[in-house]
Amino acid sequence: VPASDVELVRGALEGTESAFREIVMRYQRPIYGLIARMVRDPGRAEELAQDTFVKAFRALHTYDVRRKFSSWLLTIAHHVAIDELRKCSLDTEPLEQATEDGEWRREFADAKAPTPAALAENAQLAMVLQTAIRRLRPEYREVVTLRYERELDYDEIAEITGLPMGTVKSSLHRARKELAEHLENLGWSATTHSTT
Amino acid sequence: MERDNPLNDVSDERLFELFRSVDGPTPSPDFALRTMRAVMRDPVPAGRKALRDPLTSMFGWAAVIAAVALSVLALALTQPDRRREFFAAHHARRRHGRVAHAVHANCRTGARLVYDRRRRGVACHGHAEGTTGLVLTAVVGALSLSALHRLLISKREEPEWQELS
Repeated sequence: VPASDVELVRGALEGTESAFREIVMRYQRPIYGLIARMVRDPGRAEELAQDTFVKAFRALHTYDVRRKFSSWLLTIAHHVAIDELRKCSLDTEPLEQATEDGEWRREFADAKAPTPAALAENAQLAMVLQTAIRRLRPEYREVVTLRYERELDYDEIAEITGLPMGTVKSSLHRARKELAEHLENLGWSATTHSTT
Repeated sequence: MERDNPLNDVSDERLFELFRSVDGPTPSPDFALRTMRAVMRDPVPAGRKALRDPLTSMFGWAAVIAAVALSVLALALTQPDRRREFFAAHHARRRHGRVAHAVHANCRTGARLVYDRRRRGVACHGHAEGTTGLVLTAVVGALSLSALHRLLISKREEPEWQELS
């Protein structure tokens, strides 16, 4: 029987290296996935994900076992990614501006968007989804990732991002609309094409 | 479901379906290994135990025990009368295969050595072999202490993190 998160935390606090290693193994994908979606640079995302685990270990004794460990860890990842975005002033270009200057149109032309039939391929679909998510604003990218990739509830997303529930819902609503537009521009239609 | 225009929106279910059908971003295969190295290198917050690999700890203790045994052996071998006694014990072990006897004899050598040191004080300092023995003992002792330090004492620092909300 795999150890629970709380058991692993207790083990790590007692100095058992394998307990914290298990935490890293268990959560490396969710943490890296969230950060990579937010900062859009795989190399930097790895550094920040590593930083998240180091910070988590430092603060492990402050973890309240009544909280969900994954939410606690994702909160740290959220702070790490937000700090990075603020520091680098990445992705602050508003959607409207980018559309007006035609930058994205050029990207679409260069990308040679695949046909709907080819999109049935998992790898291509992943690429399209990745591209569509990358074109979202950072705050939308985060809520979309937490909601659809991590499949978290609204209240968990609110807890991780520190946003009010209403803001989370409205952000997700707008994010879905933007995502639908981007997906359609890339050749995937939410209303006509199946993903399975 | 809050949808203004169904043609411009994707439902929750469609997005769940879409995300499940693709693999999300994954870190490089050695990510966990590098992360653990970074965590182990990071100073341990005050009042917290450092992470330890049980296997490494076992080897560490084995090294300490070996170092202590070597110290006693080195001291024993640098004193002529004790050296004779030591080799006699080993000879007896080889001849009779009586390991217990050898261990007992070696322990006795060590005990006598400590007793003699107390009794004779600095007398052996003048002896060339005694000096060599002392240097060797000092080196092995220092190595033992270093290994003990690594095993038992962690580098500590004041916590610099902030309480997470």
